[in-house]
Amino acid sequence: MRIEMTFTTMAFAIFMAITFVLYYLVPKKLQWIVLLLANGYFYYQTGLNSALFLLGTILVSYLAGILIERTGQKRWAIAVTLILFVALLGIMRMPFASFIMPLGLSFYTLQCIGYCIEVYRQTTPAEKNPAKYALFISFFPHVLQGPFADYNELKKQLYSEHPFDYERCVKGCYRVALGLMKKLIIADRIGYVIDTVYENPTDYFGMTIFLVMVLYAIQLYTDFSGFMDMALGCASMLGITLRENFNVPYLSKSMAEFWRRWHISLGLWFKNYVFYPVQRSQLCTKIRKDMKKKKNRYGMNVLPTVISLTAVWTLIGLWHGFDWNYLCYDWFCGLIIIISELLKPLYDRINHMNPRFASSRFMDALRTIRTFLLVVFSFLLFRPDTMETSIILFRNLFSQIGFYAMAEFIYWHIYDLFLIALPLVILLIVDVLAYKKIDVMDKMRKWNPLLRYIIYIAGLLLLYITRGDMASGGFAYYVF
Amino acid sequence: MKKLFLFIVKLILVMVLTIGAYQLTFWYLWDAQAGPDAYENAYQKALLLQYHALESEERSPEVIVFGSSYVPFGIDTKVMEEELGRPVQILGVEASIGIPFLVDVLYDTAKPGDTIVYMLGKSNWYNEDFMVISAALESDKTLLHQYWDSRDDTLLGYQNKMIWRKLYTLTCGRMIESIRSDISKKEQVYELSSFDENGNMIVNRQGTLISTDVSPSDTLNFSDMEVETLDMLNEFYDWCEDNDITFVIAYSMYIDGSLVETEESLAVYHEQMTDYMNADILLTPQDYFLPVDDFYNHSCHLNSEGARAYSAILGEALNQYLDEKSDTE
Repeated sequence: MRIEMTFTTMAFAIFMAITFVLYYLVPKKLQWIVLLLANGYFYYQTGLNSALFLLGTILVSYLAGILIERTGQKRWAIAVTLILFVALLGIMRMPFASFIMPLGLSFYTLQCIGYCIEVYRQTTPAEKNPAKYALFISFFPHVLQGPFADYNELKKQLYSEHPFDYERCVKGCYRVALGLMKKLIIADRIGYVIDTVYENPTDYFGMTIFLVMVLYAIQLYTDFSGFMDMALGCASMLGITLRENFNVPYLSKSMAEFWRRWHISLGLWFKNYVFYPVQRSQLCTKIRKDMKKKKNRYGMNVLPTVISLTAVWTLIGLWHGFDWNYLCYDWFCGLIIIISELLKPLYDRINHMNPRFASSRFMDALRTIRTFLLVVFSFLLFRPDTMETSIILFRNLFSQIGFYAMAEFIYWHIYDLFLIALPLVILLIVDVLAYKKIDVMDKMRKWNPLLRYIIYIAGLLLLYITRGDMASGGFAYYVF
Repeated sequence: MKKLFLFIVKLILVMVLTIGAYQLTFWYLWDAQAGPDAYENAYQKALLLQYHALESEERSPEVIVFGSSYVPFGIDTKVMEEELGRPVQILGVEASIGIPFLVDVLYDTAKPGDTIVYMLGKSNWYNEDFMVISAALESDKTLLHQYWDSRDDTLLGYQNKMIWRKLYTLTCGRMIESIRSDISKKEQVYELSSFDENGNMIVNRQGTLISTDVSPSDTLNFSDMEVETLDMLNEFYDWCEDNDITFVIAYSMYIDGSLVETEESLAVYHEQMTDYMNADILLTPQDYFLPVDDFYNHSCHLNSEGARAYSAILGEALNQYLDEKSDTE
């Protein structure tokens, strides 16, 4: 898998600078063409074969869209299209194809499927101009890792004229800087600290493993959301608003809420194209009718939901990869949500006994901690390369406390942990403010300009110094 | 268009000011005399003491023992001086200083009539750690710049690391070290005050902090040796020959019973080393085996008693070697 120009490279900074200047210098009507050319160049950097693969996928889904719209056999057309794309995804997920798997395939294929379904549902007309359709699929900020975009939502923005908006660009720069901080300082450094543990699972025990699990949760979040910040920031600089993909997930009070705040666009995609269709399927409709006859309201609501959730989480697991680790991870997440759904009446009854206590800050904090721990445990299935490693780590986690070994582990990585300390505090403040729906940039705009520029420079200085001399690793979600 | 131009100008200005602030930070923390010395009591600073002792114009020809951390932990200069009747100076504090740097120091400071002993252990670091040496030399700016100048390209790559390591040391390094020391209950030896004015480790290291349950698990193979270091030492030997300096090699200490190698394979190792190295090698690896109770906090770090024992072995072997050499001459 060739990756020449990730968001963290100097090559990308130059590419973005050139695209940015050209985009605003050319006549407004031609802006979308500049973007299309930029997309082509950007994706071409991942390799010629990958670029041709993307081109082929775009062409097939473009033609499928037109066919679905024009044919009288819409059901057949969409069925064939879906089978084609699912088969493509399935084949490329096979071990023998892993080395030729084009970068971002899992993301842009779902994007193509979503578009075809929308055409089938007649919520959007099929795009007649193949170049414009190609612009939507290959838009460089989202082609590699998302966020998944709704065609209706994005097409208006992609093809319309964008005059230069100073405020928007400044906010875009801030998002890019935030993303760089998350990725280069926090995620990459944590990776450097914890990778050895996952490579030698038998050597670590108890509290060291727990610490590593927590650090991994932070790493994955900062890696993935850092990418999203950079994607959204770059898009914003070009006058385009992409969907937010993260919304302070680690402050969620339940697993279901966590998944509404984590990889939001993936959740929405599966909700629209899997969950609701399964809910409306013949099987679920029949169950609902049967339960209604038996006057079983609980079963009527819960059983179809359980079936839909099982389908969703199994498919998400397979989307992550044909690997027991991913499947078990997604089943674990799904299981927690299903159990919560099944026990909801019981929870409601308990909460009604003392509503004030149930809605107190203390209980909210406990729920947040519980959810965070569940997520941290779930990643024990997600991060290790094999199920065997997951089992070893799980067994060693409870075999001994190992306080001194943990202290020693911290000591050996103290420089790296020192470096991420301040960025983590900054991240926590930014996240808490975001949770409270306070826009940091809006606040900062009201400050004295001198102070503001000192903060910008100090931030960039911190970013540059703490990045150290480590080469940036690839993004965690590139493997999908 | 005007706004776009303004935005670009501001962006470039912020970048330029950031680069300026970065250079200023580096200058203040490292380059200028004004910068605070965060490594005031750092263990690595003993290297500077050793350097100054060696460069002294007045010093008489002496025995210099150099190598990695097993040198300060393993050499008791008083014991060796008694054995040899000559002053003994050590050079080396830790493996990551790198042997090339130490050899460079010796090229600058060795005098005719000196006898130099290299302690050949398992860690024969060829690539020195730029950061460690910089920390050791920080208070001697001339030497520090001399070192940086000799490695121009490297400084750029290390600048960031040096800034944040120094920030760490200035802000919380001492506190963390003391917590670590408290938790591990280890005697704190990793500081400058553990050394005398010539850079000899004088802190009393009693007992052993490593497991005394010894089983054959360590290995000693010729193939594990860094060839670059060995070649460089051969080159150094030739220079010593040309400058009336005696250069010999001695094996470092090993925990008795910790090596998986048999007598035969150790003999092969010794033979391979003897064949490869231009310098003579004093004794065999087995002659430097010491009981585990003589080791302090690492399988190459001796406690005070162990250092006396090792120095006596080395001193006697060296004495005999020098006597034989003078007889031959």
